[in-house]
Amino acid sequence: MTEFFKTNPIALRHCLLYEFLQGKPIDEAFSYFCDIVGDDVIKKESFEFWFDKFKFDEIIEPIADTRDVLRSDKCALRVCVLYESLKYKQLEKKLNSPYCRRYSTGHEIVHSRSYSIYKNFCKVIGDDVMEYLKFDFWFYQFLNGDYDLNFERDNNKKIYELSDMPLDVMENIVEYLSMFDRLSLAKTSRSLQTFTEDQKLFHQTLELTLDRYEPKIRFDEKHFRSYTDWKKAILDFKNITKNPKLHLNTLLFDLSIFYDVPLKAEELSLKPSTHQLHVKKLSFVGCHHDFSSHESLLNILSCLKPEYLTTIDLTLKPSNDSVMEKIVESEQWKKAQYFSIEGYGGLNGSLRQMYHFKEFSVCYKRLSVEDIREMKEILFKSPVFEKCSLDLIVPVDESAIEQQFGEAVRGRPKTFHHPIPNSNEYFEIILNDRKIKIARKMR
Amino acid sequence: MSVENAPVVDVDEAAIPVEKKMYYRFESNDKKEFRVSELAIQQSETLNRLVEAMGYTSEDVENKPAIAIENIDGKTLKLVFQWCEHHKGEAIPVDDGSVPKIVEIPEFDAKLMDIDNGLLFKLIWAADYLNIVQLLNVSCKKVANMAQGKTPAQLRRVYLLPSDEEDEAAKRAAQEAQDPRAREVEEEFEERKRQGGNSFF
Repeated sequence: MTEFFKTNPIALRHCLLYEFLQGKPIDEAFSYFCDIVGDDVIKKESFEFWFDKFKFDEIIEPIADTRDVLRSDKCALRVCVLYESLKYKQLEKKLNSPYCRRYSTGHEIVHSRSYSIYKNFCKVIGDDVMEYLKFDFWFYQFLNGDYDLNFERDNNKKIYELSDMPLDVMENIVEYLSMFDRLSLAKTSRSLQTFTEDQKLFHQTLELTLDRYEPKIRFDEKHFRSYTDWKKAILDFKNITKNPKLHLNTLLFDLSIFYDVPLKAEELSLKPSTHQLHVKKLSFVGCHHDFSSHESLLNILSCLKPEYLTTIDLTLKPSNDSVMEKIVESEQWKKAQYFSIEGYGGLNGSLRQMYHFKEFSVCYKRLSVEDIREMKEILFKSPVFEKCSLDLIVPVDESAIEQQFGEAVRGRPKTFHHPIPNSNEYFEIILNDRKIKIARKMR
Repeated sequence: MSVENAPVVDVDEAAIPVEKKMYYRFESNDKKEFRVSELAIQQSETLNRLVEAMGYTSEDVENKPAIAIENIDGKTLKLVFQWCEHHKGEAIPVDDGSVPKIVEIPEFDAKLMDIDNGLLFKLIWAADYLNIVQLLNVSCKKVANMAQGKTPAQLRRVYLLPSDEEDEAAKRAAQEAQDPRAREVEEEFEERKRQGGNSFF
């Protein structure tokens, strides 16, 4: 590199001006400059002479913008890119030393280093002086040791860009983008919006937390975006769920501290989309204070693909009966396999609504003799039912239970067995003051 | 014509002692020649079918002209064959689209793809054209990684994405190129409007 600057004094001056523009104190700038271009390229006196000159020239004959000296000269700009590539090489040496902290793969310098350096270049020289693609080209030319500043690209040769890629390649690229990056890509143009909204997207979890002060969207438990306005969060959430090829393991809504806010208007209603989403598990935490969450729950549930949805987990205050009736009538409810609800009085109506589940866990007010008869009639004849747990608000009447299930198992006074005819299985019922647990067992 | 007689990746001859390895000769559109092992070619579905159909013997390979790959240049093809030689013998992933694709970029691939965007897109284009599934996967993943955390404006800049206006202008230009009469009609319409006519007809 020393040779290059010795034979290109103009290039050296351009580098000096570029370094000058970054406004470091002169001693620091000199030692940094020597690290980058080599120790014997310039003497300290010369370095100071040029820095003084840049400063002095500016005072006696102010140029509107000193940067114009570099901006107006194609070769000078390339020299600035060269200087940036040399700076990067220096940084890379440090990065590879065992004493340096490693950047994570998510760091911009790792996954798009030329862009991260371009940003610094723009900061020094100004935006829109050189297109990123040009910068990128020169940066790699220099990084690979090709210092020909007058090299010209063959204009007849096609330069490939993202928009030249065939559709299947675009699909392949978009498949690796997270939902937030897809949102950004969709905002670049209408055609890309239509394209990205229709690409397969798999995520473990998507959470929408509506909180009047810090609403947020989070996915896969680690990436999140906070909003100042909950309406914007809903809007982004709707944009994400517009995609009919979105697949989620868990969709979580948390409205626990979201109250006094009308969610009725169509554009703000929590209805994620018009098509049915592929969601395996719905987790819904309703508002602690009012009933409006039931309406939202019904809206959300109707947008999930029945049967694909296997699990419904709710945390809800006492139910709004008319809405709850609609919920238990829905296909999504009837085709789900696992259900749980937390919150006292969460469920009114009959336990019968749950007898098609494989497993369920609910809080129930009072277990009557009629309930037990129904249990024996329907639940114990279900081919799929595996286990359930009932939390009881009113303690159970043990003698009534005994009448229905017969005597307790010897040595275990609160445990009953109910044989399943024509099989070697049975149901074990365990009473525990305010809790009943039932599970299918093998003999 | 510049000829690269050596294989793109050094091969330890002693490691495969018994069978004489079969090589094929390919030529890029700028007349660079490459010798590529049979096993490496299997990574490319397109080339693999081609050589199978040709049924060359080792003598044919030497005596007949190199197989021309018309639309890929030497710089790109070199990267492609380096990748194929490094990954030869590896299973080709099958994607049925039902599960999320998990792709890690190995160190070798990361170094190979440490290139400017223009060349990277050429490499992707070539991987797609030659149907090299895993090379396409890792190169697309690299492009996706570059998008991480960027704003729409930054994405436009990095990938040179046209805005809606530019998109429409390009469409109009393409239409006009197809139908020169369209422009004339439009000009005539503008002229009439200037003259105060309300209706075109």
